[in-house]
Amino acid sequence: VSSIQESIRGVRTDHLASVIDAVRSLEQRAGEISDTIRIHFLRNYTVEPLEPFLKLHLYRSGLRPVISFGDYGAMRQEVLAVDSLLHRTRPEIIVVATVQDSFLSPVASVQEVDEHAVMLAGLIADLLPRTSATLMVNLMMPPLRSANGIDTTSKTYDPVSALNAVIMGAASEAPSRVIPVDLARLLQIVGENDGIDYRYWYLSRSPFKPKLLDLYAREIAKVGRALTGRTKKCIIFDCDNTLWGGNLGDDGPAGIQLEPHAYPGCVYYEAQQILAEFGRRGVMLAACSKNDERDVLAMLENHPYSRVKPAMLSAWRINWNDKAANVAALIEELRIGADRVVFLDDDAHECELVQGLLPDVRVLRVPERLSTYPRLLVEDGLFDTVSRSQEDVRRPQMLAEDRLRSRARAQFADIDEYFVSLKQVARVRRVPPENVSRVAQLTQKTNQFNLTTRRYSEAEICRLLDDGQVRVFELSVSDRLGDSGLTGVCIVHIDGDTATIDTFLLSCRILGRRLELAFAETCIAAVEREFHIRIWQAWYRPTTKNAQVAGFWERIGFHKAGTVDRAADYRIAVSDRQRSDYAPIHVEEG
Amino acid sequence: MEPRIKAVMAQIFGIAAGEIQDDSSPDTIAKWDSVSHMNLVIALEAEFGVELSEEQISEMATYRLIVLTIRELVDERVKR
Repeated sequence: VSSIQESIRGVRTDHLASVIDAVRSLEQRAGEISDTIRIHFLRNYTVEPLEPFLKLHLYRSGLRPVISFGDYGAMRQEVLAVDSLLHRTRPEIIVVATVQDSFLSPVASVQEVDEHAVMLAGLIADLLPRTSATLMVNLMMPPLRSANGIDTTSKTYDPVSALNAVIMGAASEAPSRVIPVDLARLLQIVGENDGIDYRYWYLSRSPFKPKLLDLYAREIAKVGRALTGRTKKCIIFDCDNTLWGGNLGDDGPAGIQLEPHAYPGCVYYEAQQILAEFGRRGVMLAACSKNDERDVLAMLENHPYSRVKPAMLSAWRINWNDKAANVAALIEELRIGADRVVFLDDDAHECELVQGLLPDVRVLRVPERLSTYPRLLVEDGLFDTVSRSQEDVRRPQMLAEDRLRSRARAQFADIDEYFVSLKQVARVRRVPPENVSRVAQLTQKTNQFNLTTRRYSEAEICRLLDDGQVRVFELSVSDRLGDSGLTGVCIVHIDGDTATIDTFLLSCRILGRRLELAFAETCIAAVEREFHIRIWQAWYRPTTKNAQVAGFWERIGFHKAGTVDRAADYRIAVSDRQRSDYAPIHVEEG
Repeated sequence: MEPRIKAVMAQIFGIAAGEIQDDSSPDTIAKWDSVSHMNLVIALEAEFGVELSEEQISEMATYRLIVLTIRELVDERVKR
């Protein structure tokens, strides 16, 4: 798969023939990619020219795209007919790709826009209960030219804004299910000349030129990445010429460039603001710099324009060791996969070194044309999530608590003494409706301590909660050092006297503290109290990330019964199972 | 010019340039449908720095017609 990534890296997305050619050769190797994403288009215009760009960006993200297009202008029928292509393909993403006629034709019919908005709202309302897909819905684009354009206050000048607000309203009621796509903003970026093809608008109702299609495809790919757990969780950044201009060691805090009112300081200041905002959104920030540690920390703490403060950092390596070793150490300390990490540095050699030794890390180099630097940090949406939960926002604080915890570890004779001192409380209960978003997100994002790696959308979790033969449990954890929040999910299916553990996952933030045992035992006991269970069944589906849990079911007293499609099937009769000991964790139920 | 046209067609349709004949058309090249015709036009325009009219787009239905159309547009551009 990484060789596939490499073969794509050089493809110029501004050259259509190369994109089409590259996608064709990627299709032949698509079998090497295990993660698929299915995307279906409901549309009222010819959106097919988007396909090569979308495929390229999805392959780039390590996803194998399966893309289908609904019949032209038959959107409502497709949604309502249970056997339509839409429902047969079971897409993870449904793109509602529509334009209203008056967008490019200066007829400015207020009525036409009204009808279009009603159609869109109806489509959303019909889709939500009938699929579990995430909907990406184009907002309507204001007419580029109006028949009586000088009167900019008339409703015919901008008939869409008020109605788009209605679509945004529908989206905010189902925030993780409906994602409005602001095509007008993408058009603003490329401009009419590079964005709109009037010839094809009139010839075959295909209004967009490749540059705009490329941006549109990137937006869809961002959502695809977020839904499949590809959101980056951490950015590791260099300091000199990355957080500020100049060299702290040589220039001193008074000599470096960070003042917001003059170039180039203003660019670095803005970059720091963006990084700080990432931190507030729950992205882990880590500094990695060849510098004196005290100098850098003092600079961040005390410099009047520094927006990144030491307290926001989840970790740092500020020393004279080689960068790749430092980045590797940070990844280990933060307990995240290298594929969740972005590395940011201005030095071409450092970038190459890190990319070479840690190919899964996404490397960003501060551009030589510095004015494009802030844009670089945001344009690929590397840290975007589909639904942002409270936990995300609290994450950096929880990591700070983790640092305290690992410091506390050194004071005890053995690990048991430490566990006793922690006074851990595991709270296990059936998932209440308000936690559906966080639970779905955990299934989407957790890779390491995840026995089956089944990804669920919020809608799917809701469906499981309503199913009388399914129990969905959550784990939240606290101890004397703080609250780790909701960090575990267990889904059990009951079929007669057999209970099957469909999903068992824990956030890696809480590993190594026996909480996995407490959680599993408590869920098992809860199911056994409620149902008459004779046999337990559980699965381990190996992925490239979850080797550490290969032996987990044995720790819980299950025995391996066989293997199906590489997945190991574990079973045990209730009466034969040896319970595992998770003392001294205190469990609270309900 | 002709080898460049053939190279673009080969990339768009996923065929070998050698397969393209004077009378190659949507009837003889399986991948040549309305969407890939659109892509072909865009790619040829990028390759030769020209812009086709709606009529030229619609009429350009064989390799031979493509060559004639592109040559005409390139000559026009050179004259200007």
